[in-house]
Amino acid sequence: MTVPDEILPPELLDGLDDLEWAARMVARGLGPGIHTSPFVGQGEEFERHRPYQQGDDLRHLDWRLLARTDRLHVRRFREASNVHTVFVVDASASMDFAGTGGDVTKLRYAVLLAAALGYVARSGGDVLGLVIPGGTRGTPATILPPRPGRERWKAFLHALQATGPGRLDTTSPESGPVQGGLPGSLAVALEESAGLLPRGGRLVVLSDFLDGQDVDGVLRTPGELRARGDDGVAIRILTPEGLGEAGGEHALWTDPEHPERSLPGTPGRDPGYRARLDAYYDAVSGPLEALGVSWYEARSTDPPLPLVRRWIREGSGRRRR
Amino acid sequence: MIELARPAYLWAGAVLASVPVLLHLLRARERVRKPLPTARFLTPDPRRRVRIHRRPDQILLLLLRMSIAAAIGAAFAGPRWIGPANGTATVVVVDAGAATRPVWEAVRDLAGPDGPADRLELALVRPGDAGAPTLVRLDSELPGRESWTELAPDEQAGEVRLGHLLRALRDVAGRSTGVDSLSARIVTVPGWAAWGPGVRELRDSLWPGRIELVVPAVPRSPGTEPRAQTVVVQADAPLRALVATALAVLGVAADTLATGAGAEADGDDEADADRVVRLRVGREESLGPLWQAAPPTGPEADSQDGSAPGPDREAEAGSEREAGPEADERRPPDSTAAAASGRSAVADAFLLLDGRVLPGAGSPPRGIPSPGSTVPLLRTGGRPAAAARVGALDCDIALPLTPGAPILGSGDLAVLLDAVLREACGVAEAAGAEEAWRALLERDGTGAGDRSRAGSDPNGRVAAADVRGARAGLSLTRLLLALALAMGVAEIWTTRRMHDRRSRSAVEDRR
Repeated sequence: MTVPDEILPPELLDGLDDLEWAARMVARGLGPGIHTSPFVGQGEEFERHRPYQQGDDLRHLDWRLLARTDRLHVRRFREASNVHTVFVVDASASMDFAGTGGDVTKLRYAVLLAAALGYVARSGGDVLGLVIPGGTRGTPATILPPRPGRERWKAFLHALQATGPGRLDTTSPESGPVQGGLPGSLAVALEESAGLLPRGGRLVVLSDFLDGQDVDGVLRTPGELRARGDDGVAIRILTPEGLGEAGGEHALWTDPEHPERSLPGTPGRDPGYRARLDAYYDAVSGPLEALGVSWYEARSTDPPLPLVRRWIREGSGRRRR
Repeated sequence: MIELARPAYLWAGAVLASVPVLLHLLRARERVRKPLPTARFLTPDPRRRVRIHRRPDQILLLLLRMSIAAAIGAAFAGPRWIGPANGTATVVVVDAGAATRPVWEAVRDLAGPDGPADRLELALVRPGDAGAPTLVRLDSELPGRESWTELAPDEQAGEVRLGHLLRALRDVAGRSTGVDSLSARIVTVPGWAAWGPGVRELRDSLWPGRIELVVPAVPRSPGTEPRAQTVVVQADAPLRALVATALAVLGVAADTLATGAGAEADGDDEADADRVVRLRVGREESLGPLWQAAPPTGPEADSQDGSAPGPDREAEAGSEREAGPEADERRPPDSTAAAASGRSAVADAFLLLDGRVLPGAGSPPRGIPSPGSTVPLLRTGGRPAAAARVGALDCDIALPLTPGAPILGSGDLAVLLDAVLREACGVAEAAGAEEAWRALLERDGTGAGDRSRAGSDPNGRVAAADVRGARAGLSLTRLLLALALAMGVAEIWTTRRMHDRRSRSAVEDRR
């Protein structure tokens, strides 16, 4: 049974303390059969026991269980798909923005979306990794290399949950608060994540791509990854106000990443604003799509379910090479 | 109706109340700052007018601040509740003594109200046998001329002191309660002996309205026309009018006022005149020699002659003054009678009544100021500011003008007159005449010169009314200050509430 989109608005998911639960709700909202069953066989992650059948490899026989129960059972493991997926969640200052009418910031929306997509990807056997930019020196604040296992999944969720303004920088021994990133930090994070991916991996970037100081740097890493055969997914997250769909009030607007920059205007009534915005994102998405990177656009006020459904329908960001 | 003791503070409060308006307008010009990560794509629109946020609590805050300032200003303005609008009343007290007998018909013309009055209270004060005057209340309408003539004082009537008139004024005015304004008028021809306590009474009394002293021009002897005196004023126009007014208050009838400095009355006028008073108004530098030539005055000078000063010396002084050689030349015989009757010309009388002996070379030994001697009339900052110079028959009142000093105006006139009269009181007090006045005042209970005694006057309706007015003003002031305090608390509460809301809004905007 498919769950209507409006049942899982971002405000509801944001209110859930357990990020895994929120991700599971999104995944279950997709309906049965949408996500693939886990591969059971060779792997590192224990899945379940199964009664011994003739022909089973005796190396997988659970001798301890045989000693306790006098029955023959073999251990089944979750088989990894060997697809390493690294999520890059932009935690820069521009992501810490919800707009006038929104309750969920772009960063929180990216976290929820990354958890839901990670859940779906892990269900498909992917090995998850996570890179969160926003370190105090422009370096990533969080780096989780892709590894299989439930512990990594827990760490993945924990790192996502800890992402946000005022949260701890998990990579720094001093563990200072992360107050947004530095210009160019997304490009650095992408370079860092590229080093974590083996060939045939997948890079998923959730950002507003407003790292305006280094657009070329943002475009460079996906290009390199595509060149070696990796998959790339770019999810642009914007608020309605950022899209010019709201913000009818005239004010002095300040760029959070560059507080010294302020411009008076009315985004909701500025036709040139939307034109320049579209031109900017065309300049970002065009080269990425030309490289074969999947480009998704999300609005921070929309339920994440349609995007996840589209993600699965389009092959989880995998493209035929 | 509410009367303000210090209306200027109300204007100050209005100016103070405009400050919050200016501050609100200035703060409204500040742009609203909001975060927008895509701000770089905006088209700059600085020309458009920034919409001003006007929340109800901001308007409330503005009104509160304006009200606080206005309330403080109104409180300091000294509001007094003077009752509902009940029109105006005119209280006229007529001196029915010897002073006004020669001009009794003229007094009637001065006793009537100048304009329309809602109420007229008319009373005559007749001298009593034992010094206590008799108050005769008349109807609320001015009597006809025949009836007025019947009310004229007889030839044996004595003097009515100004203190008696003031006390009568209080008694009569006490019946005119509840009116918006009270015009009090005293019609008299005051002699110098009556001025001392009267002036103090005027100065010390808290009168709710305005007291108008009407002094008719009177001849110095019965049957003589008022033009019997000639006053020659040598002064510029404003000062000439000033001095003429001063002389009118002093009881000197000024019929002829020569115009321009150096003007002189012609010989015929002087010959026909009862006496000639020359007034000279000059600048300070021209009066310098006058100050320097002024003989020592004061108790030391008084003690030189060793004589007992007092009213008894008036006749002696008058007779001695007549003995001067110049007096024979310039004073008509009528003035002798005037001096003998105690109604001598005020300019001289002032100097004679003080009983002071001014030593001078070749002058008569006692009671008469030497020709050319100077008596200071006004003191400013401890130095004489004006002086009366005594000639044989003339009295020059010298009003120095300090270069750069403003021209004396109407307000200065009041100060000048008060100072002249104060000086007269002081001179008379030094001469011992105060004792007689004090005895008189203690007898009639006016308590002149003592505000506490004036307030304890058993018949002091004015004093009581003032206390009531003061209490009403105090309660209104307290009420306004309490209101300002309450509004201040409300202002603080509103400000904190707005600050909290602004902080929450900032957090939400940041999200």
